[in-house]
Amino acid sequence: MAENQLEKYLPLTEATFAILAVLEEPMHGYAVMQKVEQLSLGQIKLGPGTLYGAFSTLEKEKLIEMVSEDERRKSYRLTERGRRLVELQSHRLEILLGLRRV
Amino acid sequence: METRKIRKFKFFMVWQDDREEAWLSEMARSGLHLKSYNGFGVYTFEPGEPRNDIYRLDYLTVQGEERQHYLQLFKDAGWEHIQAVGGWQYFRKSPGVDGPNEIFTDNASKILKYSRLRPVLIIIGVITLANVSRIIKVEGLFFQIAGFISFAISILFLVTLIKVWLRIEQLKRL
Repeated sequence: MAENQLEKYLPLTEATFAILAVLEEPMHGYAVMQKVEQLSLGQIKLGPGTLYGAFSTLEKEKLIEMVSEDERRKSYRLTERGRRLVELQSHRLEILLGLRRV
Repeated sequence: METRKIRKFKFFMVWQDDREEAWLSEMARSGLHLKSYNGFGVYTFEPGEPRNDIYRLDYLTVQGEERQHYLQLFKDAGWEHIQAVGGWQYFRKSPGVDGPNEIFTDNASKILKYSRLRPVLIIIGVITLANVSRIIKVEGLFFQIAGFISFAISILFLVTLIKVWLRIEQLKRL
């Protein structure tokens, strides 16, 4: 069904995947940066320019949605569509990793 | 107490933003810290202690509340906004402060930044070029000269557009 529609987004950049992955929980921008750096053990860092662009694009594509906003910050969360995309990419990555098994 | 201000004149083309960033960082290392830029080559610095500050430029036109969100995101990440000049956003960060030392951490977002320039360059280029034929038709040396200047400006925009396009293609190949 919509899976074919979502496939056009693959492969996701690391930044995109990272952002979608942590937005299972609603969060604002800087919290996303910190969470991604923390969970990736410092391997993946997101710059504010990158994050701002990603939020705009992901919101436009309805992969994330704004859940709340105060005068300073917006909080986002995954949409159902975004969740399916993360599943799709994760599955794809598992298949790739599987190729390494002798 | 009045702080001495030091002005420097330097001209960077649109596609030389990385050189501009490096130059501003170099100025900071010699104790000159950017206070403002007038958009036409005049940089105003405040003298002070030498610092290893990182300067980075973004290109984005955004207003109102959306602009506040944008600036707050950078501020949270440790980046100080110095000035906006015609869409160019000047940021600086001290490496000692918490947060990422780059504003763009992947190529896709760098490409987005340069892509935002294209429509502006195309529109201005087309407008100045369209004006050339109108101006040249008018009798008189003044209009001939004005037509020539208009033409030169549209060539400049065309060259800038090409250079920006090349930069985007270069980034895509990485």
